[in-house]
This record gives sequence, structure tokens and C-alpha cells, in this order.
Amino acid sequence: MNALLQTGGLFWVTSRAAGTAALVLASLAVGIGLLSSSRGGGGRIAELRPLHEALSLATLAALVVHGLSLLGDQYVGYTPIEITVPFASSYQPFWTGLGVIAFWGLATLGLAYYQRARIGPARWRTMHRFTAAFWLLGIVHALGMGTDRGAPWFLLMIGLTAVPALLLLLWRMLEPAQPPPGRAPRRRAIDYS
Amino acid sequence: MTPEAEQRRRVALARLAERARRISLIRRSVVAGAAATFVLAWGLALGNQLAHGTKTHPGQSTTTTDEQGTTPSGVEGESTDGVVVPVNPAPTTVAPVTPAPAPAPLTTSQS
Repeated sequence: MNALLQTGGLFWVTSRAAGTAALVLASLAVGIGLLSSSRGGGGRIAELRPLHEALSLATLAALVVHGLSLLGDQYVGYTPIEITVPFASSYQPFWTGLGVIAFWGLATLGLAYYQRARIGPARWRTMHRFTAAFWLLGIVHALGMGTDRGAPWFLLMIGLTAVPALLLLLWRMLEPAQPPPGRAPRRRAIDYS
Repeated sequence: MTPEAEQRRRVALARLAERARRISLIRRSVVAGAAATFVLAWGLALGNQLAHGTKTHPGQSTTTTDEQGTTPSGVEGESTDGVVVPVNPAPTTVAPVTPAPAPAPLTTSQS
């Protein structure tokens, strides 16, 4: 334990835990998001959207902790540039780069929700669909270089959350095109006079 | 405002308040769930780290050789109660593989 403290290993453990939590939260957010926008979501949409939003924000917070705690670890010695610029890392540049891209993608597309009025709802909706691609990139990053990628508890946590979301995503992709969910069009008052 | 309109207004306000209460509950539940997930993962990762020593630190489980035939310095090491003692502080150069002899030049003939 003392050795862990001396080498900044606790930062490394913190980063791994935050990364795992981020993957779990992101998987739940993607799954809930897909459910809330599906036809089956029906009357529960009002409940699912705040849940989707809260999970997305929690994912971003976990990703920030995941990145920042890497800076405290003295073993690999990541620099701010290495954890923010894709493929700039000296340690496993490809897998680290995928993680950096996934973070920026999720952060940009996730926070774009708050600029929806400026972006335009239709364009924002189109953009938002790409969030799933960055989530998948995050999974690839974790399975490619994650220290715990072989640990049963990690695989169980990811399997329980990511696999259902992946199945929902496949279901959505195979589903025939549908008009975007939303409020039913308001009926215009008809003047019969 | 008519009593009927006042009644509708009260019902609408009550519904809004109920919705805000539900959303607040959802947010607090997500924060609690996220914190619990993080703590659980932290404990499991720490247990993994302590059980396997430095083998769970990056570069310890596998040693890769890049195109130049060098290994990263300090990656290979022995674990002494979790402290990494680099065995090869300087990059180790692996002798390049002797290239195969060049094939005989191709000759073409037209018949």
C-alpha cells in the first residue's frame, strides 16, 4: 500500500475506477436514450429523458476524473497534452488516442444539447446519433488497453450494461425509418362560422 | 380569472411541481448510483492491484517490442512489495534479423 502511495498508484487505481464507471454510465445513458426515443418508449419518455440527461452528465464527470487522475500517476507520466490530443501519447498512442477522441466526441455531442436552439433541433438530432459511435470507441479503447480488461468483474459490469445498449442500438439501426418522436402536432382550431 | 381557470392553473402548477420533484429524485439517484459504481470499481481495481502487485500497472503485464527492436526503458522490472525496480533502464537493442538474400533478377523472354 505504501508503495502504491509512493508511485502515485492510487491515482492509477482512481483513473481505472473512473474509466469503468464512465463506461457503465455511458452504456446506461445510450440504452436509456435509445429507449426514450423509440416507439416502445411511449408514455415513459417524460421520465426517461431526465434520466438520460443525468446519466450523460455523470458520464462526462467520470471521464474528467478518469483523465485528470492520470496526471497524478508518476509511473506512465502522462502530460496534459497526451491526455487531450489524440495520438500524442507516448504510451500506447493508438489506444490512448481512441480514448481521447471518444471523450471529445461524447463531450461535444453531449453538451451540444444545451445549444440545441442555436444548432437547430433537426441538425442536433442528426448530430446526436453519432454519440453512439463515440461510446463504441470508448468501449474499444477500454478493451484495447484497459488494465482491468481481463478481470471478470470488469467484464461483468460492462457486459451487463453495454450488451443491452448494443442490442438496442442494433435494433434501432435495423428498424425502419420513423418520424422523430415528440409532441403530437397541435390541432388547429377550425372556425366553422 | 374564472374559478374554473384558477382550478386548472392550480392543477397545472401541482403537476409541474410533481414533475420537478421526480426529476430531482432521478438526478439524486443517478449521482448516488454513479458514486456507488465508482467506489465499487475503485475497490475492485485496488484489490486487483494489491493482489497482482505491479503486474496490473501498464506495461507490466506484457512487454512489447517496437519496430526498432527496442523495449521501453524501465518497463521490465521486478516487483518488490509493489515498488518497480527497473531491470533495463536503457533501451535494449535487439539484433536485427539478417535479411534474406535478394532473389535472382527476373528475366523475361518473348517467344
